[in-house]
Amino acid sequence: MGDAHDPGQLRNEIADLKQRLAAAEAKLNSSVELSPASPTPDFGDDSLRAILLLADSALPLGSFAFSSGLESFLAHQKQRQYRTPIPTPNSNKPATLLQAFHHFLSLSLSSLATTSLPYVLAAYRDPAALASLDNACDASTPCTVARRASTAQGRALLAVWDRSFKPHYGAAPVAAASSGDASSTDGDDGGAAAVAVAIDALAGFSTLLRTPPSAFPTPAHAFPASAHFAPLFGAVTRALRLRASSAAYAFLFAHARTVVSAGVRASVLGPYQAQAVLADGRLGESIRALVREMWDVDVEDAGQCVPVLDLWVGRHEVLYSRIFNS
Amino acid sequence: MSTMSNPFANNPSSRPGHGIVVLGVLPPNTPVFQTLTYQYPLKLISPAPHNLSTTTTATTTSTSTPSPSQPNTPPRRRHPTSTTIHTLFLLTYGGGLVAGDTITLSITLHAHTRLILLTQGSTKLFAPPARDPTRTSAQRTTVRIGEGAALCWLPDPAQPFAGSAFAQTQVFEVECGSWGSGGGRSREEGEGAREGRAGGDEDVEPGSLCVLDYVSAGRVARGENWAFRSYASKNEIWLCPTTTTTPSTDPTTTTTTTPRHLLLRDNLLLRPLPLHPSTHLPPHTITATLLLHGPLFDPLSTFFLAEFAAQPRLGGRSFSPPPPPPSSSSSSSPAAETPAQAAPQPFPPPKSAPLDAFRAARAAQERADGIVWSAARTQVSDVV
Repeated sequence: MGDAHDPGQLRNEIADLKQRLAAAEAKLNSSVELSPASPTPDFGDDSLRAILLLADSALPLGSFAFSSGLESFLAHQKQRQYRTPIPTPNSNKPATLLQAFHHFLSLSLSSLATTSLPYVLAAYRDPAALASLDNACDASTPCTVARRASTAQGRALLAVWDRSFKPHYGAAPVAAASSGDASSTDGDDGGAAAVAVAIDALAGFSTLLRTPPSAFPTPAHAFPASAHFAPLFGAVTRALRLRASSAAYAFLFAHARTVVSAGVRASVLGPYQAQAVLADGRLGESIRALVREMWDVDVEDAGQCVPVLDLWVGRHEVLYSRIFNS
Repeated sequence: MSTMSNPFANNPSSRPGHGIVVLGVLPPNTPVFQTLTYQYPLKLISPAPHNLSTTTTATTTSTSTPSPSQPNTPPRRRHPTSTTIHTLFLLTYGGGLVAGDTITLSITLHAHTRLILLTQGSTKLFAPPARDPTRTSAQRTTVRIGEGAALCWLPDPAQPFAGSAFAQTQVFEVECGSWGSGGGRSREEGEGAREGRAGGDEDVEPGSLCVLDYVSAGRVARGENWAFRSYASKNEIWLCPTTTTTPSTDPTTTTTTTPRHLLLRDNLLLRPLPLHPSTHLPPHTITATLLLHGPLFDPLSTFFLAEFAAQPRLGGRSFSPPPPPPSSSSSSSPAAETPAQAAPQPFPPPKSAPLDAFRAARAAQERADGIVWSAARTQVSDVV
């Protein structure tokens, strides 16, 4: 939408981009100076590849089909009786569509961080508890539309793991390989052992998902697994040997990317604007702040901090026309 | 939760803010309060029970005036003891909670008893004193619902004053017969597709539950608009096997040892977050969650479902004449009874999640959940 440019925001973006350009140049200069000292490129461990794999928008999770309530939010904003006031710098002017989008994005990130991020971290830290975390996550997602979106992507992620990642990451790691600095920080405990546990847990969960519920003898297993995205993401990132902070960051960033991408297709912002939103340093800072906030929160204390978001997501069902699944 | 029951480990009746309610059955089938204790600042008032067999269902509906459930609450299955319904008013001295107050309430409903829990007014949550601004008040409730028993909890909304901090946890344990082996779980009727499975619990009527949990924006007339410091409300519904022995009056024995399965955890966290320093919820002045569970409230869930399905599509063009106005029964939205109604704000959309929490057939349950959510939305449109 060409008319959606807000001068103030653009100025902010420009200032921010300049700042990051300067930072990048400084980094480049320093690395140029250092380069003689390290004649061979240093890639560290191979976690960069795993992050690139997960961050790829071509990862077949079907995320493009979900707007996480954005579509419903925009439809509600068009109706006067449902309209939510958008905080704007200039309170005299009505909020533009782009401002509404940014408001929604921050609400959506906060909500995801408080509802789902604890499950990502819990499954990362204790992959063996994947099945029970999945059930708890299911019980904590009363909204049908949100549950549908979460399980669809969770099952897709499990399929990607089974078919694509497991042949290459599924071997139990050599202890020496992953006991390096990647797992020594970040509160990781166990290192290689935990990766093996995560791989086993994913295999077990995959079996659980395919088994009809009546085949389970114990009542604890009598309720079928749902395969929610958040706990599976935690287990998969553990199996991919990512750091916990990287996993959490990737989880929230992927959500932001999905919402922004949905915004492009909902004609809220253009593709270049969309990339600018994702490149914005403030987004990264927001994600880091949210991860810090939820770092030590138990899944029992995960909850919805934006109740209206549940309403929007749930009311996606009543939209007359829909281009997204959520 | 073990933390729920630990406070009762030693002499519970002498602790401030603690209350124990046990609704038992006096043989042959007269439900009576076996235990009814409370300590300042908590107070429990129990009027004479209603008897459905003499007064018909109209009596019960009149006691639950703010209930959206009036049209559908009459028990569908007449059990010998289901005709006497006890009512309990939950009071706190001063009409609310001062910072630092902690209410701990334990309620046990034995099989086939009925209890309605009400309040006499909104629960005021007062701000902490300036010298200790971080002090939080809390309320913890544990409810054990026996087979075929039912709880209807329709309080007035919590009203957090500016600067207040409050956290409440409500744990509901619903007994559903024995776990059995081979997946023989007791099921509510309507999910009879799985009836053919092993297990002899088909005749067990699980407990039922209707809980309304809502919070307003504060003293709206004074300009307060979500000005509290923090508010947290957690509702959990657990499915439990029926205890084989007669449930004792000590709640610790029933909560800590038995296996249980989490059916629903609805957790509302309104507190400052990195991206949103205020707990602002514009333009709404109240947010509500209605939880429904069990066969007794099936008709109500169905009602909500149907209402939501009948919602007008958003963004569609109407080529047909407008639908008739909603029936009077559907206008019994909780929002209409709250102070928010008087506020100059747009109508608050109550968010109700009546949840049919039986998970025997996962697909069926998800469908039911969706319906339930829809119902919440139905109320929104009814009010608007």
